[in-house]
Amino acid sequence: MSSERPAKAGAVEVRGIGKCYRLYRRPGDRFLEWLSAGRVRLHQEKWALRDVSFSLAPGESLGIVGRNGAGKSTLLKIVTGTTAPSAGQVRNAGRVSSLLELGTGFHVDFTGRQNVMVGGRIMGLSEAEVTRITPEVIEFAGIGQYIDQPVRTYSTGMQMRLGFALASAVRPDIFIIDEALSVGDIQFQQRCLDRMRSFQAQGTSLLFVSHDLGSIASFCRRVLVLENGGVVYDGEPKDGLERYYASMVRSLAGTHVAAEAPPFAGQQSSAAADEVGDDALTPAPGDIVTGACTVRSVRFLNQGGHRVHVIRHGDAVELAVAVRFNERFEDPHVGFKLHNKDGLVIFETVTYCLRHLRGTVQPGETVLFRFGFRATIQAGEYSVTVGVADGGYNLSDYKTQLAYRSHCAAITIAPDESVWSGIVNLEPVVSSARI
Amino acid sequence: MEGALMANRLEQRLDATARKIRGPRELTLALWRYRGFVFSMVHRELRQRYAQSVLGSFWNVIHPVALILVYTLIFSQVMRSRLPGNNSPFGYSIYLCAGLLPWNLFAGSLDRGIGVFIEQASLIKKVNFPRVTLPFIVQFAALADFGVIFSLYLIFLVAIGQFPGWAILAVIPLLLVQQIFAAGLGLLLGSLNVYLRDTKQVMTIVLQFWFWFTPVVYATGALPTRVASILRWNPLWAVVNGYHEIFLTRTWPHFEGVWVTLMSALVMGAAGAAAYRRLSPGMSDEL
Repeated sequence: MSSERPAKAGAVEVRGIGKCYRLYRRPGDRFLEWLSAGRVRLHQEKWALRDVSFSLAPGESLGIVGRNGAGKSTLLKIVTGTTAPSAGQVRNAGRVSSLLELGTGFHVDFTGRQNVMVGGRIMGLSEAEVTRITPEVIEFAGIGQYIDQPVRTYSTGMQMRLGFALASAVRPDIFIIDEALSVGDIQFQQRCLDRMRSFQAQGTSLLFVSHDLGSIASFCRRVLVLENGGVVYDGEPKDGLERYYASMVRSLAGTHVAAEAPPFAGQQSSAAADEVGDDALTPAPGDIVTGACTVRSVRFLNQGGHRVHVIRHGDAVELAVAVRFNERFEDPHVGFKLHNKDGLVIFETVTYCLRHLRGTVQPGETVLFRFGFRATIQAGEYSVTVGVADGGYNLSDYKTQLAYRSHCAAITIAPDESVWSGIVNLEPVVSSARI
Repeated sequence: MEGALMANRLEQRLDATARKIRGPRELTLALWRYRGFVFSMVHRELRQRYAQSVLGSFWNVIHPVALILVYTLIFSQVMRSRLPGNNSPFGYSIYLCAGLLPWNLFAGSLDRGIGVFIEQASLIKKVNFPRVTLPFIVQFAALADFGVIFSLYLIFLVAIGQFPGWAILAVIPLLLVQQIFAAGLGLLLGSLNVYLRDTKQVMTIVLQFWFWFTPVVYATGALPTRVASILRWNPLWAVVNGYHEIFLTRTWPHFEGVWVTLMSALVMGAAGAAAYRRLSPGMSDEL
């Protein structure tokens, strides 16, 4: 160990780490195991991480993506040092500051100021130094006179802001952030990103996990994709995020995954086969399923008419809804809602509102309705609800509701290179002139 | 020069290995480097208990005074004739305080030591720092509490003209041995308690028995000799007798049987350290 040169401050070296959790069915089982001195095994082993290796140079930023349970948080905990790895080793050069998933280690019965004092001292600052940085921390966190109230009275956002302000009050050599930026408003996020950028310029290396893939794409020059506790990709963010989406697509519920075109890649299957199918949609609670019509398939198609589960932000996409009518209807209409991952309706419309009249349909006829639009909404996962009705009275009333299938299809929008923040990209055209 | 280099290397190692404590040197260094944190935590600990109360840390004094009053009122008449070597009307109060205050220190620090890792779960899970400072914080906070009430006791002794004089210094080694024992036992059971939460429950009951197996309220002379000869093996027995000698007869104690406490302290100190080393790496996964 002594023969190794001390690494430059900011370097991170992770070599073959693994983390194995022991799961006991009852707390007493561990006791029995202890009593038997290892002769009885009552636990199951679950490897949350296996053989993860990477190294970071000072000033490098690494984004870590992966589905829930892929091991992202465990990895950050191990690099921070709050959890010991079961295998391998971590070498950090320099001071580490971290903000691990929701919660900051604050004591809720104490005021923000008292917590800043203890937190600052745990970072190794002297009392005078903590006193000196406190006003700046309060200012950055933007919590005003709340600083002298118990942390119990803070909202999650306030706690996180104070946590970030404190953790970043003194530039660390290694800065580790888990999901911290998802809390707080955009202005605060921007200030955090600014601060992180300035740290980076001074040689701080960053490790960060976020579900906000847009900020990873714009911030990190390198991405690590974790899948089931292992590294499946380590490199450029663009390819890394595509890789991540591809892994999500594989695990998406649905029967047509095999026939699905690889995201953004060349096409093999014929477009016509992709538009319609019999997807045997399983009814969700609250769905309306009648014998009058059958929603055969709800699919997203790319510009080439091929079925996709992932498209890039800004790309054109079509929602194709195939409905077989089992009876004669004079004025059928089809509508859809697009929900974000919180279930909020981002957009909703109906053929009636779009002034599209299909006209009479005959029994046994399948009609393919196509809604084409450009995906200018923020990157993320979205689901679709589809409804079929007959006889439009006005914008929201129909004579009969024939079908209602909630969350029957999903689409993931991947970030592109554009840098913006918010729900919808308004794609403003900018100009300036001296007047 | 070499010492400084060594300290520097140790410091690097502390940073590089996620602050694993391997031996007494690293422990001392960790405590020194984190002295500011330890201090502010002790401070917080003392304030915390009475954070929202009007009388604040004054309660810290009221509780033991009330307890002493209760025992004095009830037992002083029963016990007076049996107390050796002190005819003062305050004899029983002096006797009771001499044993009760150190006992409260022992039991309090043990109880808190067992729960400290669980109480500080959020800190352990979110922040990387030498966790071994936590049992020390408990000890320091308990000692600070004890210091306040014990000073009041000494003032009381001076006021009634019963101050023991130089013999008071003998309290220091007795307290030291007693608290090493408490810290070792606390570290052992505290580490265990993270994995087996029943530990703390069991110890709450054990401490109640332990109190009555220690001559705090009663005088040893009141016990049948057979019982006393068994209870001598109680590690607290000899130290409490030592306090009685100091304060009641105001003489330098004989330290009779203190070797039992000393041996227990050494064994428990080693056992606590071993248990902590073995069990601490997995703690954050269990909290």
